[in-house]
Amino acid sequence: MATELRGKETWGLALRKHWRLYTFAILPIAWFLVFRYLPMAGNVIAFRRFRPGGSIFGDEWVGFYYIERFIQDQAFWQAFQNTVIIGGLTLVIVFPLPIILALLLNELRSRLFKRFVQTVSYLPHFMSIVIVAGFVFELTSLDGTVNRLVQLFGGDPISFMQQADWFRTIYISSEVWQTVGWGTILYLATLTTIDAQLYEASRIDGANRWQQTWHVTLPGIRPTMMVLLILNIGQFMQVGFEKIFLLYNTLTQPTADVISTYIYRVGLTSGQLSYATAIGLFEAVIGLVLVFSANAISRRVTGSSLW
Amino acid sequence: MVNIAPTVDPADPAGSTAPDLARPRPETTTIKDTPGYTVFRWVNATVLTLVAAITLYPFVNLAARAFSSEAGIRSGAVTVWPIGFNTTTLMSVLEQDLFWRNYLNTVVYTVVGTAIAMALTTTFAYVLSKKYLKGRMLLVGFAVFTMFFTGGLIPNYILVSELGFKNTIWAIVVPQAINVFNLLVMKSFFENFPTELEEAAAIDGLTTYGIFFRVVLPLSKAVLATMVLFYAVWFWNSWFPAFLYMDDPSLYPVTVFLRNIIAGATGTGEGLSDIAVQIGANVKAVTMLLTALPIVCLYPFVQKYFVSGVMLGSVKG
Amino acid sequence: MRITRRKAVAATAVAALALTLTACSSGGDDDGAPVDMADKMVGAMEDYGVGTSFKATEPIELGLMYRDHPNYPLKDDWSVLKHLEEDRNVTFDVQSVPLADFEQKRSLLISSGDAADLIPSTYAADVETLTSGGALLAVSDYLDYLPNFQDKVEKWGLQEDLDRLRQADGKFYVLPGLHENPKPSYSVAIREDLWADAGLEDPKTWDEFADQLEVIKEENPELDYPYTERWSINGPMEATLQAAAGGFGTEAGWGYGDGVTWNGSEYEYTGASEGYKELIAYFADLVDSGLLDPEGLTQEDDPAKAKFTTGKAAAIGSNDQEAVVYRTGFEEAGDKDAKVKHLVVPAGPAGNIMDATTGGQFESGIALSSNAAERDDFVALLQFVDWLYYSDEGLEFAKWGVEGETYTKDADGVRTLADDVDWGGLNAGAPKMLNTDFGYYNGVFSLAHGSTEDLVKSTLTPDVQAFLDEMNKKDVAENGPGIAMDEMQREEASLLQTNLQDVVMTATSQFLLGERPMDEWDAYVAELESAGMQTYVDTVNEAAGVNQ
Repeated sequence: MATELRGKETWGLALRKHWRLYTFAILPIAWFLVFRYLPMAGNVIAFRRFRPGGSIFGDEWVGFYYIERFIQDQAFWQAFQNTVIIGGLTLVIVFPLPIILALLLNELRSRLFKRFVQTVSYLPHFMSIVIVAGFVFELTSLDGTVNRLVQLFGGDPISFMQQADWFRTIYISSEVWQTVGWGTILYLATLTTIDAQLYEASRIDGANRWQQTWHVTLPGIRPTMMVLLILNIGQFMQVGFEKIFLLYNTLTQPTADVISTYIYRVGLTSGQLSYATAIGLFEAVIGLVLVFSANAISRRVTGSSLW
Repeated sequence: MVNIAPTVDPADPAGSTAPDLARPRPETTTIKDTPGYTVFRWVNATVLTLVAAITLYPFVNLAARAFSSEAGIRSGAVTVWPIGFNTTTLMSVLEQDLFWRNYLNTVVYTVVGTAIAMALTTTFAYVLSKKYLKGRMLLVGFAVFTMFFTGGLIPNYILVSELGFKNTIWAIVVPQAINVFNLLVMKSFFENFPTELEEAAAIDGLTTYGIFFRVVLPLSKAVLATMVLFYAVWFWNSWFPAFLYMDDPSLYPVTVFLRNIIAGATGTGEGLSDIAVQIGANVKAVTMLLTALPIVCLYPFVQKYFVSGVMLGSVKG
Repeated sequence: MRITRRKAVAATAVAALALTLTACSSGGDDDGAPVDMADKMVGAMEDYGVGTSFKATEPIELGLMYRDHPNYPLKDDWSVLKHLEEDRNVTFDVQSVPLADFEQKRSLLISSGDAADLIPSTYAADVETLTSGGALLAVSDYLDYLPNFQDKVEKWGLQEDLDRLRQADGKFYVLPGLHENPKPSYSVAIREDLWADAGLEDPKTWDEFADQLEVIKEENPELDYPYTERWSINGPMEATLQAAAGGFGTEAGWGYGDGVTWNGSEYEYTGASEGYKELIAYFADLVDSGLLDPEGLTQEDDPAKAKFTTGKAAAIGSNDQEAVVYRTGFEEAGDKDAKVKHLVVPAGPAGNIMDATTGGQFESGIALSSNAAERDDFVALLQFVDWLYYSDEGLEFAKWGVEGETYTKDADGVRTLADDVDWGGLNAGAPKMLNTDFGYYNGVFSLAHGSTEDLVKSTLTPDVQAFLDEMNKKDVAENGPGIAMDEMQREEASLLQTNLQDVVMTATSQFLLGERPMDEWDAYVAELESAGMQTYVDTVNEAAGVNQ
């Protein structure tokens, strides 16, 4: 009944009718205002000069000074490029793997074995980034397992964490290890909802297992894929700050430094918070643009979308 | 908005009819497998065994390192079995009061944080799920916007500091109380909640509060359990807020303790008038092991809840 | 209409909150004028001066940013804290910051105006960019209250160095830790026994060292490499590069600093200088000819040490404390023949010179938060800082502890640790450690190893003392004039320098490892130019008042 009135309903009426419901929103709204929107006001220092220890809203207007500065800043573009590369690799490699793993799991007949593989593969998701970083250091250290394998095959040990060339490989591998298993859960859930009759029908049409997967399974999970893809694209620029922060060093910086770590360094270590904030705003705008475009394209091409 | 809707039947709180992720794909067994498919099944089983082995390896290796001697680790030969078995490091870490105090902190922060997060997330998600509610889309946008735009480190820091949250549990649990992604997942779940149940309850004279607490929540145990798990894991693992807002080691969670040990070992040449830091590989391994252990042990037991509970699966285009 | 009102209410609420926030955080505007101290005398001694044993006239509690070291974590029952409370009436409200991320957190605390009163373990360069907002106290305004500091600066002839710390506003913000004499520490350790077997003496120059490595390699085929390196976690062999740089007329490794070197008439960019090129070429050549272990440029310290102490290498980067560790390592391995010699750093093509940082007399020091000046016991705070960090009595206390408890002193003034106390192997086997169990010789309370020659040498073995004496016979590279940048210059320069330094550090590794041949040097300099080298150098020279 209420839905029919939506167009004409005034706020007064809505409040009177659903005041109990609105009371549920009071605390969360207050929370968002205080802990999310209030600090956002501090972003004004992208256009005002902030001095460490001075007013958090900056001391004087400087217009687009800091924006012009970072546009001319080589290191920023280096970080931007790294972000795009690491984000791109994550999208291309880490995004599809859960789908493949879910499909492989889906073909298993032994319930027990399937459950075992699932249980094991979800586990890394629950590990602290600090621990994951610790694993990475242990496995790639000179006395670690990876180098033992390298030596087994006749190679010389490599100081992986001190070589810029290796950083992306290591980062992506650790992402794969940590997230792929957990990523399957959404797909597996979707797979269970695919109507068994569809398989039966395609079998009668003479489709083999592979064709069934192609024509029934994949279309069945496509909407899930699209929604996750859009979300992933939206977070494209927010390449995991904490993990890179914990893993990188000055030697790997040429390939490892992403926008978020650059912001942290410039902002905190060099005390240039106005400058860092200007870059942060830029990053956020790109994120918004990406998610809106991905959403629009997806809606047009596949019909599924976030909103 | 996000249509990641749980497919759990809210009328079935125990989740007994919830989709079983381990259920094999519907079989078309009337046909005999082609030879090609049989080969595939063997390859598949091998691949998945490998996947499981690779996933588990770091844990096994960690345990082996934790019980090895420093020289054993140094030899580079420790893989799945300790070399130069020793438990002295384990004992010395276990004897540290600070480690245990930080461990206890982690437990407290996790419990309190999860409770606050659940209260705020559940109520707000419920509001957002009511399609007839005026201003709903505004509120959704209000929340989603914060996924992309955030305040900087310093404004956040000063806010927490001015609220007097520094060096209290609130600095860790309050600013992270709502995760927008989790909020959207819950919202989708409530959107799929059968309206008939709520309408029936309303006819029985229940108010919104009554409906929410006595009808909706009891029937949402599966998704609640999942959210609890998500938040709990997040709080258990978080270290950055604690690093920022805690100035007293006795208030650190164990992740900060761990970070200081792991990073201490790589931070040489600090130039201060102290000896460059060196912490044995062995101590690192032991501390990591002890931090990871509770999750590894508890996890198989909770796992059954979220597997039958999450089911964020079905997406309506 | 109602919607507008609601929006307006929300907006007002946010604005109100924001206002409160500003009001709270932008406290105390300072106009730079020296404050009237009459109302800040709580706890202060009336007649405090050089030689006065400080004791606050009533108990005071000072905020202390404590850099917590994982090797000796802060304990509430430490003797150092107990004695400061009982004998000096001073207790601390500790703001603990773990060593692991000390710099970042210190930066955050200062930037947000939340830093504790006392901020020790800090170099002037660390907080250079953080001074403009007024969160740090311009300590140069209060030197009158720091008699011991002034006394030592004058006695040890450090006034000129001190003036170099002054920023564009003519003030400085960190009280540096002082050294009576420079205290170089890093060099290369060699296997003295192998050198003797080969009939070689300590190398006088780096070229001689290279020739000797050749001989050692031939005479000892069991070595993997004659020479390995360490301190390579953040960049290749940074310690030895710094130690060697002076002799090549440049700055490198940990001493790279702001990236400019004074050439006598103006600053030039270090990474593009001839001296830097020669230095890098020298070590690249060692790697190329198989004398220096290429892993030494990237490996962690533990495996590096193991290579040396298990006889796989005959030379390694070292410092005075690590040389002791190597000896212990050989003893534990049961190698009785091995003898370790911590070499005096050989001379280079530019002469027998230490770089300005190594040969400098400033160490990490202490900054004060500007909140400290608001305290009514501010004067007592200054007196305490002066006493603990700069008076002979305070320095001795911070390093050695209390006579009779942690050490004894004989008639000649020679200090000996108590039987049950050890530090750095001076009393090997004793159950307690001077730093872990008592809190002494801790970088937070004890700056610059005790500052005075007497105290610095008091924990050094005779051979290290000899090393120090020999090192101090070297010339010290000339420090250029102070570089006092204004705010705009500094903002620009610090970004440029960050970028330039990244290029230099990456290229340095590549050249050393032979991944990039030395004849690509010009191409590398061109990279520096396109990264803004000239602008940076010009800014520096301008700020240093160099006429071009």
